[in-house]
Amino acid sequence: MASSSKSAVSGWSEARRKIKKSKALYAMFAFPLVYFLIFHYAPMVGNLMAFQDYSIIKGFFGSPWAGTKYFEQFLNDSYFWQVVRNTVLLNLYSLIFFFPAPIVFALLLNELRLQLFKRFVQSITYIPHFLSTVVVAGMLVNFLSSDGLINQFRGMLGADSITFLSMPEWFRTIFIGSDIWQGLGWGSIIYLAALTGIDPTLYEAATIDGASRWRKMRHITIPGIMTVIMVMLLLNLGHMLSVGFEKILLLYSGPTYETADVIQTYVYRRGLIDSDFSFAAAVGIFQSVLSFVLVISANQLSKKFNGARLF
Amino acid sequence: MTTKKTWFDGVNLVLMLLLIVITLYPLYYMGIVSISSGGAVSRGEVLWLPKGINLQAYKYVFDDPAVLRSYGNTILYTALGTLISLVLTTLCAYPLSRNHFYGRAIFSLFVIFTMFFDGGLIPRFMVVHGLGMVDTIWALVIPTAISVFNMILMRTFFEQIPEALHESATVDGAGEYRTLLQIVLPLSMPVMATMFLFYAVGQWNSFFPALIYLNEKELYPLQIILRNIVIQGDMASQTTQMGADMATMSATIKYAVVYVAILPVLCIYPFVQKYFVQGAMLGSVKG
Amino acid sequence: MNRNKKLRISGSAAALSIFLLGGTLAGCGDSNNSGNSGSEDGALSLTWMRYEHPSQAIVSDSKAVREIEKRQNVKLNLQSVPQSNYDDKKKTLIATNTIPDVILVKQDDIQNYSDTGVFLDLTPYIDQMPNFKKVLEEHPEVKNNYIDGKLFGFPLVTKWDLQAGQIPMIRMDLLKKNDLAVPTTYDELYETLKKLKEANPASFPFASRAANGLTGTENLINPIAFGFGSGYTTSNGTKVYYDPATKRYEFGPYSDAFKDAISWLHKLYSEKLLDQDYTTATSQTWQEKLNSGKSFYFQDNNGFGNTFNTIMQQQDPEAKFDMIPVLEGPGGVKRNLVYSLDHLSESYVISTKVKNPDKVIAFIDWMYGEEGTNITSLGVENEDYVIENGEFKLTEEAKSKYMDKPVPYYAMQSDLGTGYLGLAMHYDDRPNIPFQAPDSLAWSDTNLKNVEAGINFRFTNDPPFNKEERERLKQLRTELDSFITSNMDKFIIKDGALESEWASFVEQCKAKGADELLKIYNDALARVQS
Repeated sequence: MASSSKSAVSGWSEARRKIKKSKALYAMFAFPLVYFLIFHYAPMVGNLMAFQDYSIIKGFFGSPWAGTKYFEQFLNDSYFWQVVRNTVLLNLYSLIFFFPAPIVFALLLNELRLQLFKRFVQSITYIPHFLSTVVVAGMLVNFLSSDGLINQFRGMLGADSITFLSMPEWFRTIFIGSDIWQGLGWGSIIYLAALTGIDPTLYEAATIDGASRWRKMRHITIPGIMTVIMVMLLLNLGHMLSVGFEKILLLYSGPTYETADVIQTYVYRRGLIDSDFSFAAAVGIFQSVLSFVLVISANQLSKKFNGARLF
Repeated sequence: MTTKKTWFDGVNLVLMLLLIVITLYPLYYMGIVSISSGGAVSRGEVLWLPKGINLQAYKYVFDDPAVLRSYGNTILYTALGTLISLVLTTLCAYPLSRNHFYGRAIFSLFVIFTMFFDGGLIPRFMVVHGLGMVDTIWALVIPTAISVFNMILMRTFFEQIPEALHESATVDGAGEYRTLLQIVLPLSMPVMATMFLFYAVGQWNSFFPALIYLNEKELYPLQIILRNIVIQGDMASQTTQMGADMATMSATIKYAVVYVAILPVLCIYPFVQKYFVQGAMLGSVKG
Repeated sequence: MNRNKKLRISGSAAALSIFLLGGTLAGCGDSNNSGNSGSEDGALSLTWMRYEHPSQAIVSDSKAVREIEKRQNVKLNLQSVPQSNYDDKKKTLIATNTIPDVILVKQDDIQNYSDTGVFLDLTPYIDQMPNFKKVLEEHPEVKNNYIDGKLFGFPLVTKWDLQAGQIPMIRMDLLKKNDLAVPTTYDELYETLKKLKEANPASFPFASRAANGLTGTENLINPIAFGFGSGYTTSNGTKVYYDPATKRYEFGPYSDAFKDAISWLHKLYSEKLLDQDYTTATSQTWQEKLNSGKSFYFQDNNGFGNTFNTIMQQQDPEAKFDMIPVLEGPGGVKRNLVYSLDHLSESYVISTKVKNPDKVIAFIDWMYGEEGTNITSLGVENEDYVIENGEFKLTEEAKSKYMDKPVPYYAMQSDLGTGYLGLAMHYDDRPNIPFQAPDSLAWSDTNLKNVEAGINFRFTNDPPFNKEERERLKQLRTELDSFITSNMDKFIIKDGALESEWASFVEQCKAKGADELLKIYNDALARVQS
């Protein structure tokens, strides 16, 4: 009894001591804290809509309750599960192909010897990031049409022309391929920044030991940016249930629905018929909860094995 | 360091050259379309070389006084927005990177939680409207000031600064503010440059907050006006004679607009690039 | 040391509050929904929001705005939102109950939100509006806009416009060159396209596109199915259509004529007579094909015919798209779909927060009257235009000012603030005539004649639904739409799909509620007609 109260007291004084020590940090954090409270936490009241028949005049606090009606609407729709499947698959492929691309690119850039050429490649490859989705989609439609650029090349090689955009089996390749085209250079920036943190003396020592470039890359470079890679991976896992759907809207069509239709396009089409705040909010909560659970688990795993963590 | 040319260098070089071609062709294509005659473009004749070269499309874009005005607005929003974002993100990332920050785990969760849960557009609009920010520059630069994604990246870099440096600073009598300003930030130039780039480009390309929070056309940023031209060119409600009249020029104008929008930002990168020097961080530690 | 820290903390707290306060204070000049305030001189000030089409910039002090202030003592504070994202803006403002005094919305919005009390009910004021009342009498279709007997919006109606539609247009010069007769039936059209393909093996004679909010597939099937005696979607993409023959809504796939139309399209597709990329064709790729001689036929907005001709004739003076007489379908049906002249699905609504609605109502009534219509459609007489023997003519001044602009018509409309994309609510498009080629005017006349002859039929707007019906429609459409959309292309593209899967497809449509969808539409229609 006495000992536990004593430890509680010491726990308190310990906490007070720590708080005191962190005072300046609290002062700094006060700004972001207020920012998040006002612009992120206050609007979260809006999630109430998912459980309400939202009325504009009555607002969040006066609208009648609808229970889980909106959740049931999509959870009971067999088509919804197909779009969930499409969303997850698209993200999974993206994780396998798109995620490593900028890392590999950054490593290759790092191996270039001509500094000027290296800078040139870097500057060029990051330009596509600035093109809006509409423009990229427009060009894709152009280049992939049955008499477009790609098919002209195929023609030169004697292959038949393919109507890429109306074939469901091509959709994911096109979507992720164009993502890589657009995001390769831009995505590598953060890894290039991480590369600058590696101590050059490590390389010098390795060279003296006679290590090959491959060994240096494996044992110095990659471990040097591993934390950043893991953090990026964790951040990416948080988006497993959402997709840049503007591009899908511009590229999909009836024949490709079976692979291209995702959660957001499904919600979007429904919203076109009748703006449906409560339904969209309910789907949003569904997505958030699943992503959050996923990231928390991944975070715990990563903490255990690698030490990289989000929180 | 002795350097030996290997097959790997050759392959790497070829790969990079290929990448340049793949990246540049579509950009080149847009460029030649934007300066070709609308007729040639809509006959599909422009593929490798421009045809009927003229600057009509650029003239059309700049003929609209709104475009020039919005250019100025965008520069202002980008400058102010980037500044505010960098300051706030640093103030968030630095405490969260410190081991002895009491309650760090809870605060991290508090911040990261917002990546997954938000209230959606309507309540956010109500907050911004309630604060009286509608139709002011603040609506564009404050509500989205901190990107949690960027904050986490920044924090990750801060954490890699050896604890010993912090300790020696404390011994020298420096408080947290001085440590941040005099030790951490100078050592973090590569990531600060990256963050600067991410925020500046994000602000430059952003249109949605402006669309929702601004009503006065005089305040519109460039992207709003350009987006209208680019999207509507393709998707206009073309039920009457109307759609047909604009049709021929739309492709050339569309790509002219793309160039008008991206050229200024392309100039930022070389400036940022000079901070990406290997060993910059540790080099300065020793020096 | 300790004191120092405290100071620092309070310092940052102060900075923080200044930072937030700064935001709040700077916002005080906010004029978003300031409401109309009658100032001492009795002037009415209105915030007025509409979308802006990129072709016609909205100018805040255009001639129409100045004239309105001069003649009506009404100060319009125009808020123009890019059309590309107008829906996002509009819905946010409505959902947060912060709409400006007057805002342009869709009939769908009125359907969805009229019961919230955000929009002013106009019904009690109609007797105060002699001009608008007259417009209502001239346009009986407006009755589709009433919800439970109440009117909430001022629809955009048309006094005069060119009539365009989804009309068969073909390269007449190529028919002559290849000694082909002008086709009169869809079967002959197939033969003709086949011959054209033989003469130009690399071509895909028939091209279509996505447009007007419909997908490429919908926009292709609509005119063809209708021409075959069936139909596919309404103008907003619901998979039912109004059939003028039965005078009720029908579900296309139930009829044999619809199956015939799809089978005809499949035949075209498999023989590569139809653009192989029709599912993803955009306006731009579609134009490229037709301009460059890769395609020779379209059944879409005939207004494009003239644009294509101008471009093609830069290279080949003979090249010419021309309208062909209405094609006959298999059962002897002859009909085309044309666009509605009015834009009844778009209406201006007034906010219920407006302080003196009577004044606003009186002003809007003026906008529908003779003077208002002319100011917002034509400009100022004798300055911008003259009427000679009843004919509309631009003044020399106007001609010299705009003729060398890239697109003269829009440059003029933008300056004047006139027209459908400007301030007009009752619009008269005669200013377009001087800029149009003789062909376009002739095509428009033909289209109009065919409307009168009962061959051309205009797209109709949805009848008003009640709340339960809307709830059901949402559910039904979400399920039916994806199903039908993903199947329809299969029938057009895949060999044999039509023979083997059609019957089960129709069964599944039934199972997914096609009958109920149809019933909701027909019940709503019956209410309007009773």
